[in-house]
Amino acid sequence: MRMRKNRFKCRYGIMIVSAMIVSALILPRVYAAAAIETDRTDCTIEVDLWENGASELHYLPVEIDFYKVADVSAAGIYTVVDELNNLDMETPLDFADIDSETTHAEWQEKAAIAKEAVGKAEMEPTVSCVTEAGMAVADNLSVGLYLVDAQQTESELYTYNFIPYLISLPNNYYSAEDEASVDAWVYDLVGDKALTLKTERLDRYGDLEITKELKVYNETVGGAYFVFQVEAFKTDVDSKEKVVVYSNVVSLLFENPGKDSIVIEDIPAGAEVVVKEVYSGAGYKLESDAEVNVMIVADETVKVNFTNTYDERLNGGYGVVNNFVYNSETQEWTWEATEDSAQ
Amino acid sequence: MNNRINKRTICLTAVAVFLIAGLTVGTAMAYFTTYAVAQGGYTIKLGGTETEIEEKVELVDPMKEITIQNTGDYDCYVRLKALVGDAFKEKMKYSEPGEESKWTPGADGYYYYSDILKPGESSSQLKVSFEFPKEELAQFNVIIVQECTPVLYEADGTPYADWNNTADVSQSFFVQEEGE
Repeated sequence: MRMRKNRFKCRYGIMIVSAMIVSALILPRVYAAAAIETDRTDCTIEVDLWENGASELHYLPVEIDFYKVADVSAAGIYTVVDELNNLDMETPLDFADIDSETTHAEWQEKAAIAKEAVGKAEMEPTVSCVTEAGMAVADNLSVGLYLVDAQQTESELYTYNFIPYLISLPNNYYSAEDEASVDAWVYDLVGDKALTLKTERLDRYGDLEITKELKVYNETVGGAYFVFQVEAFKTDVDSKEKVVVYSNVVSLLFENPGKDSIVIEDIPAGAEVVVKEVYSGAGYKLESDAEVNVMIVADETVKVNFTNTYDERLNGGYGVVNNFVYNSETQEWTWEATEDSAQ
Repeated sequence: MNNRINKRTICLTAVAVFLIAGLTVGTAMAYFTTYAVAQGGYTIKLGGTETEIEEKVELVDPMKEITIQNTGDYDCYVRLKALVGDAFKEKMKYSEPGEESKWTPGADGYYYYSDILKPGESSSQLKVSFEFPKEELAQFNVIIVQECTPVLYEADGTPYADWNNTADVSQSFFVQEEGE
């Protein structure tokens, strides 16, 4: 069986979830009248993914590593731990420039540098935990600045990546704009102070293989041309919105009897697909069902089959595939004509 | 005695001559037959016609301008249709340039060309316009399929097309063998 591939990359892969909850909440040292109790080793961090927005994280296990990347003084000054000093890095890890004006983007940049430093130093996590039913607890932590780094996890339909960030123990939630807020150090980040994770959800993909068997071929009238319409829908697991993830027509040209296939790659996993033979050639008829329904499975190839034979008509004919592709860099459409869509 | 010989002799001689002549006639006929056989013959053509799609594509206001050419040896009728995914069907439209009106839509989705295409001739143009989709569906196909059928004639000479006309003579075709 000759198998040819037709690549149609879907663009429904990336979705940023829970950007609204960024729990870095790094508090500058200028706040809090009281000094930080630097000898405390009983701090607690709770992770709660129920407010995350990605419902699958309510039951998927997520491994979270906490790395202590800096000590904190009584006055709230962060000092990089010895293990992460003097590393060969383009931008060394440093918190000396942190103040009340430090932006969220700058904190994210420091988190990225901290992750690089931890990797270079081959530093072991200070503590690790795994979520159960969307919750996890890390306790008996000393005060300091921690890098929160969660590992990638997968469900049947999606891959979840987590953006690392920095969290301070203790933390302080005082805001001059919020009269109800209290200027006090919080050593246990639990309950309504629990952390969540900044999540990036990506579609997982699978392939669809359409196989055609032509039993009888009429050499006199020429090539046998078949066209399939493929429609794929996916229901978003969080929003419950049903969206079209693939809508196209593909073709196969036969010049002999036998079998041939075309593979459509990278259809989002979990998509419900309807494959319908919409053109059975100028002198051929379908012997199998005209329409087949399947569901795409991640990292697998789902297969559908159609069978045709000569119907004794004397008509000739064939087709041309015009393939249009959007170039996101140039923001232009390009076009190419081929005999069948497997070329 | 001479009279008796003459009559009998003449009869026998006549018979002998007749018999001898009979033996040579066949040979002569064979001789003439051999060199009288005609050489060559007249080829009887069977089979369908051939047509080709010619098209021009515009990307600014996306559309395709399509004509069909008869590249075969026989007069034929032609039809065509454009196939796309459901996401594009609503925006796809057919039209003819100027005052032309030779392409007629059928209930089966085909557009039928009204004139007979003689060998070498091309149809008038049919335009298929569509819209580019949102970027999430950033790659799609428009497939044009075209068919031709031989011209048939009524008893009064009126030409017509029968798109369901089946073959009533044997034609060469391959049948898939078991195990192939």
